[in-house]
Amino acid sequence: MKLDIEGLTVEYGQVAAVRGLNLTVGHGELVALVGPSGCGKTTTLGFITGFIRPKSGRVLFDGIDVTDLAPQRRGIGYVFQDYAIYPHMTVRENIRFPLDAAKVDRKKAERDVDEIAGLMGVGNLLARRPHQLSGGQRQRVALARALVKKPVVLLLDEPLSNLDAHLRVEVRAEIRRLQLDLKMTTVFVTHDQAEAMAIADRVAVMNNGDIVALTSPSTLYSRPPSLFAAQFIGSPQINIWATDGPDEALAHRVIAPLVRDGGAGLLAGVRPEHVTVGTGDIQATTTLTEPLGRDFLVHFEVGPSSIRSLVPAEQGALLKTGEVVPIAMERSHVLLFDAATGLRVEIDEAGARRRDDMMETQGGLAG
Amino acid sequence: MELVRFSLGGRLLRTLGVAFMLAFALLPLLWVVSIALRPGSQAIYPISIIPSSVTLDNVWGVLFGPTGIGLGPYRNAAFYGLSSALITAVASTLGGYALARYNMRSGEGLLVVILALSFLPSASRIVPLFILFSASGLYGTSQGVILAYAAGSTPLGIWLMAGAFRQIPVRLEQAARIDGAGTVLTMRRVVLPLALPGILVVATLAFIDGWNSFSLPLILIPKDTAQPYTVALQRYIQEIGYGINWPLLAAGSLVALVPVLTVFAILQRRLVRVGGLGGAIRG
Repeated sequence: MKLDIEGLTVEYGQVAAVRGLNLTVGHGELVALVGPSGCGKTTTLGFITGFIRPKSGRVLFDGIDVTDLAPQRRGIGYVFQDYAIYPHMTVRENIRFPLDAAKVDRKKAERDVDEIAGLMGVGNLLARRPHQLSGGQRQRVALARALVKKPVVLLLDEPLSNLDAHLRVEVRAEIRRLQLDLKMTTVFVTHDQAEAMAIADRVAVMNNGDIVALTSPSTLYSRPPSLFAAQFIGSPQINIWATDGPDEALAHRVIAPLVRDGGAGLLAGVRPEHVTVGTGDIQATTTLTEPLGRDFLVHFEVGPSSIRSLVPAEQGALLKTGEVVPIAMERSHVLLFDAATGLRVEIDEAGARRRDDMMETQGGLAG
Repeated sequence: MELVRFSLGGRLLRTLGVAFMLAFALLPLLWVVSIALRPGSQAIYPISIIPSSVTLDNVWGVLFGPTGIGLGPYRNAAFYGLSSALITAVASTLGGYALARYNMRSGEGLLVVILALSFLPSASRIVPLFILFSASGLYGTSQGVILAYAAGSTPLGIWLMAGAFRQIPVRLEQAARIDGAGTVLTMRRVVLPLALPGILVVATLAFIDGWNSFSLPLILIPKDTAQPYTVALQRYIQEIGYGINWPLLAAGSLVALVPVLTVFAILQRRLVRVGGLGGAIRG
């Protein structure tokens, strides 16, 4: 099923939670809504379910306007952050509930419950009560309950945030595998950018009640359309230096070789893994080394500017605090942003700022 | 929860305090039991605290004897109490849900006023009720008494039910909606089962209230055969020339204790464990 949200605006009193948001999720596609808390992502889900009435805007399932349809008639599957499993029912009764509500014949309902429970790996827990389940098991039961009625669209509201870190990665992969198998149109809400990147076909970065970037995870990472998206996606965070202010010298040094006009009004962004250590013409002072496992996160200072660099562990282990080493920014990975608008600026081979490319990413915004 | 450790003196003090409170609550009760179960000849001055022999004669006498009040008054009290409990439970569930789930500031204000009024002594309501019931034809009818009982129990019931409903996460109702359940199914399968402990508490309180009520039926029910035991037992106090018939009065009171204690024995665990939401929300 194809999901369309058109011109969604939601206001709580005088405060706009969502402002004119448009989003299309294709059949079988998984779109992750990611953004800081309060950005409007849960409100958007609430609108799709029908619990939140918009000031304006429509939601269409396969082109059919369902904006005024009651939540119980929309055929949505939903997994709540805290699972919202019915505490007084057994696991079997929980999973069967949507089928009971749809007045599905009892025998067929039981068969469907057994099937989905087997698929979700909770077939041996059907007689249990929710309080006898672990967090991961509850999560699977919630997913089974959402999927048993073969929903038209699956909405997942921070479904992993209550799980332990190692379980989170495991369940994330399981959800993705299942979603691909069932070709389920899915909206996945999370505040964790890494989770969004890992699971989604496309990631919608939200800020202040609107989508500010909507594209594939790899494009979002390598060519983010805006400064906000660049800073929100990726950990450790991207280095950003402005051509005015204390980072002026360093910013000019990074930008000058790229831009013919000198780069006034631009911000330079370089992800930590694209700062190479050992060669280069920038002399940097090591201020701190943090072992992260496979890599070291090394903090440098060049004059008043600080630089974060991700270096291989064997190299990072040799660096000492106070040591001065040469570093370099990989030219092809330098991202430039307009300081005034926050939008990314593309540079052509001749070193001129390109406008058409910005239009393209803008088109991506509208989705 | 942090465990508080008392010093030896503190523990002693606490034990004494508890013992005093227990004695305060239980001694009159034990006295009633003691009087009720002793032969009538031992219930006169000088009286011993512990009777030298025990008998059920008084209990038998009050229920079936020639000077007894019979089973009827107990049946009446049970009928009034149970009916009031039923009405109170239904009304409190509806009102409590509305108060808990809809944003009703005016409703809350009104409830506080009604609740405050319902804590006034019931005697203060009797004259207005008497006038009201006389005018409306409810005077002397069992419906009238039941309504009066239920009206007295419902404000507190709504208050308690609003609290019980607030403990049920709204998300469970939303989950039921998304699962395709309409209002009726959401109520029947999700909300009411979770609110059941609260409903039982409210119904129990209303029943006990009605069962024990004295002044309302005294005024509102003139007819002998419709009176509850509380009013019927009065005759043992008023019998002219005999003084107070302590043995039968105590035995009648003892019988009245039985259903109250039974209800508590059955519902005790449910009453304590109001809520029962384990597993809905990750703790």
